[in-house]
Amino acid sequence: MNELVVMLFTFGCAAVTLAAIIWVLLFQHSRFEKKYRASLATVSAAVEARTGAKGHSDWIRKLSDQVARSLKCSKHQRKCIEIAVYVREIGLVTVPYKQLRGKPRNQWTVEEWKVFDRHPEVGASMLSLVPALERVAHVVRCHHAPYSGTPQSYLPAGAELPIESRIISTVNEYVERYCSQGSVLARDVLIEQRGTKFDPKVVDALLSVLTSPGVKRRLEPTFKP
Amino acid sequence: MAGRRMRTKAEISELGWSGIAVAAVALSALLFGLPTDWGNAHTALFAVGCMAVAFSPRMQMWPSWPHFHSATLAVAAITVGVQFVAPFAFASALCGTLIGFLVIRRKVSFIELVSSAAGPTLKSVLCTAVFVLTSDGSSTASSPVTQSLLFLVAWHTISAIQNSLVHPPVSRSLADGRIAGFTVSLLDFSSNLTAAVPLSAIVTEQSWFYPIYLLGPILSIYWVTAMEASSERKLSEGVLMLHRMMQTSNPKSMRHMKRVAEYGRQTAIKLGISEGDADLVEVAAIVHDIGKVAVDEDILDFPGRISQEEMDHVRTHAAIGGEILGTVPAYHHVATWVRHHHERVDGTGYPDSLAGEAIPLESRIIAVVDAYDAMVGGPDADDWRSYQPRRTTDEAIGELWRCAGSQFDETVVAAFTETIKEAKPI
Repeated sequence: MNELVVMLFTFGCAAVTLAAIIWVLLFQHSRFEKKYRASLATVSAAVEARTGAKGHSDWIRKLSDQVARSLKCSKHQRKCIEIAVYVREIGLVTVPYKQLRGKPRNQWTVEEWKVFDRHPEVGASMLSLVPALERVAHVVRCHHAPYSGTPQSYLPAGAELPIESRIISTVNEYVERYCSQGSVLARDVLIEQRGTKFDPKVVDALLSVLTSPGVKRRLEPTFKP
Repeated sequence: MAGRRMRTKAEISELGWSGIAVAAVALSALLFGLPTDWGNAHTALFAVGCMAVAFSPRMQMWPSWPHFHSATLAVAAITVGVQFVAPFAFASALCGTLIGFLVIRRKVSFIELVSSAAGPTLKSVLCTAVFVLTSDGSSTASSPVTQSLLFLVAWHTISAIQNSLVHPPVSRSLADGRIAGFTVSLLDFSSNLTAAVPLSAIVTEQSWFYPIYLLGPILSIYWVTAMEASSERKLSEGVLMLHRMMQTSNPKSMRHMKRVAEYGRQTAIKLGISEGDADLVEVAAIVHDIGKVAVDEDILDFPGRISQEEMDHVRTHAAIGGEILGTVPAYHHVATWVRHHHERVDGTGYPDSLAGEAIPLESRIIAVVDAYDAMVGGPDADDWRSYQPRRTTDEAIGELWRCAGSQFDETVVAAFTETIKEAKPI
């Protein structure tokens, strides 16, 4: 009798342990991760409420995830891309509202462009206050940096740019052009600046993602441009 | 920043603990001499095993939070410290901390190392003292169950004292990026249990392997709680980012948020809302004006009357705030509260013109606290609103009561008046 109780007790404990571990590993871990990343979606929602570009981040996230997959980025890098896409424009809060919403971009003065061009740096400095987002902060800092580099820029260039930033800058440009000028011109811009502003590898990957039939349907924009 | 100040304070008190622990170690060495009998090999093996098991989840959980490592080390320390060999307990805790910091690849100062090892050592030494005293000589507490219970009581009392000193009665405000206090205590509880079980296993000798099996479920439950807590903390990171956004776009509103969050929390508790929900009210109070990122700053700060059109533009901020927070499923309550924080009890508010009980209680709380703080403001002149003169506390409360029943809910105003009278100025 006593031995039976001990056996049941032992097996019961082992079963509970196994069940808990399996439950966490299989179901909970990804749920927690998703919850976390979803919380950062509030940031992109807030920025989009300010800039009026509703839904862009979501589309950029989907596209750049596909591009990252086709470039064989690691899981870690893909997560970093997702977070960086959500928070990349956080620096725009320092750009005056009148400038962002009142004027189209082609009418901005040099001064206004200067203010706007500071946003990656501002965003990165805001993000770097959270220790866990250090890598993301660097990606945000570089997310508008040209691939070929500029003489006066203190940012890295070429292969020293994080791959995440190269992907985000390319996809971001495509989506913005798509919304203002349509898909054909957007592609033309990418091809034109392939190797100067954008990484040729990333441009090729994005173009092949955009034209591959299986992927295309899932990557349609979720908003009316 | 506030976070920096808190850490220094915690460091100082940990330093105090390390002093006490070193004294305890010296005293025990003096009284009992160095250990001659190490017990059986089981003890040592067991200590190593416990350490390995307890370390693995924690290291991933808090890569940037050395405080919690010290709690982990208790497991190692207690198993060795059971023989009342304080120096060895301390040494093992020290090694554990070092390994911990190596694993997370973080530089560590000598003081930090010693102080984070000292806490658990002290705890284990004191608890072992309780244990030894009850098992020898005294005839009242002989059964292993009583001993284990006594140990648990001692353990928790000491942890409570230590926690209240090391984590000073934390303001627990999310603005400082801290996680909910309840989750911390739950974590502590489960880690304490983890430490207690092997101890009773060793001391009750005759069947010391049974409780080891219990270790599995307890650790896994602990692990689940830890993951939940970390995801909670990370969720609050989203709020933190939003908060920082607002702070950058409008520095004036930053201190306003802090005060509203604190008063809102206290008023919510006064009105019978549970601690956990009060935390959510605090979140809502911090981010209630997030919609203002989509409003022209020049209109917000305009010192004078603004046109109807501009007023409508400003009023969109409540709905936009609700929309922004609505993107996260975990915050859909908060989104509703934020959306309705400009509703009036008589039904003339915006955006949905709700009336009376139809407005969520939390929204009514935020409305009152927000209005009060807009009238009174903080101690600095640049905290005051540009479009209205500053008032004293009494004038503001008089104004709240004047509008109670039309703009504000009377019960909320009553609770808030009480809160203000008790509260210190923030």
